[in-house]
Amino acid sequence: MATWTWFHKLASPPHFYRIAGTLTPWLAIPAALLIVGGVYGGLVRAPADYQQGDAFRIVYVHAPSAWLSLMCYTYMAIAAAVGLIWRIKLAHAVAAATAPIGASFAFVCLATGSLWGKPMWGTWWEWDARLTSQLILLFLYLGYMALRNAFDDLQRADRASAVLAIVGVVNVPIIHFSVYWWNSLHQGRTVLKEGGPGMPPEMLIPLLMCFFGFTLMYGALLCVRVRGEVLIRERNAAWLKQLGAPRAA
Amino acid sequence: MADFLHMGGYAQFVWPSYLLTFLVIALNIWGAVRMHANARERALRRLQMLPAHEAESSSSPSAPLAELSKESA
Repeated sequence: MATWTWFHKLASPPHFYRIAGTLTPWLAIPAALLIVGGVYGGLVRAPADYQQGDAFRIVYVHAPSAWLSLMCYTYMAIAAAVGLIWRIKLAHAVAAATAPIGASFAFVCLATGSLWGKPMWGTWWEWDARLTSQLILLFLYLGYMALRNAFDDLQRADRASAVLAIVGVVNVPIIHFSVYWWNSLHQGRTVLKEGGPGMPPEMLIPLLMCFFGFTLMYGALLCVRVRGEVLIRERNAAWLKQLGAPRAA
Repeated sequence: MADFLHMGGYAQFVWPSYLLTFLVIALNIWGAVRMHANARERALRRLQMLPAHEAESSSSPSAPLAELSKESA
C-alpha cells in the first residue's frame, strides 16, 4: 500500500512540478561536470587509437548521443504506454517532453557518425543496417512530433502519438542488434562485450563519464520540459494559483 | 597545441563533431528553458484573466501573481 501512496503522490502534477524543479540543478550540475571531464579526458588524456588515430575521439560524442537517442525512445514508448493504459496525464507529458531531446541526439548520432565514416570507411553515408535503422529512428521521432502538432486537442494528440511511439519501439532492438544480424560496416560493441571492455581505462573512463553525463543531462532537460508540459495540461487546475507563492522555480 | 588542434590529420572531422554536439546541447538547454517559460507565462496570463474571486488564494490576491511575473521576467 505504501508504494502506491508514494506513486500517486509523485504522479500528482503539483507535487511532480515541485520535485522536478528541485531536482533540475542536482542533475544538471553533475551532468555538466561529467561531460566536460569526459570530453577533456577523451580529447586530451586518451591515447590515439592504434588503427583509427585521432579520428576515434569522435566516439566520445557519437556513442553517448546514440545511447541517448535509443534510451529516450524507449522511455518515450514506456511513458506513452503507461499514459494510454492507465490514463495518466503525467506519463503523456513525459513522453511529449522526451521526443525533442531524443530526436536532437538521434541527429547528432547520425551527423557525427557521418563525420567519422568519411575518413574511416571512405564514405559519408552507406545504406547499411545500423545506419538505416538509426535514420528510421530519427524519422519516427519527427513523425511523433509532427503527429502531436497535427491535433489541436491535447488529449487526442497524446493518445494518437502514443500509439505511434509504441509501434515504433520495435526499431530499438533492431538498431541495437543490427551489427550482429546483418553484415554491417559499423563496428560491433566495444564497451559491453563479453570478456570486458575492449579498450584501456584511459580511453574507457572518459567514455563512461560521457555516457553518464549525457544520461543525467537528459534527466535535467526532461525535468524542465515536463514542468512546461504539466503547466499546459493543468491550465485549469486550482493548484496553479499557488504557483508563484512560496518559491515557484 | 598546434598538434592537438591538428588531431593527427583528422581535424576536419573531429572538431565539427564536437562543435555540432555542443551546439545541439546548447539548443536543447535553450529550448527547454524557453518552453517552460512560455508555458508559465501563458498560465500566468490565464490566471490574471480569471475573475478576481477565483484567482484569489488567500488574503492578498495579487502577491503570488506579482512574484510569478517577477520570476518569469
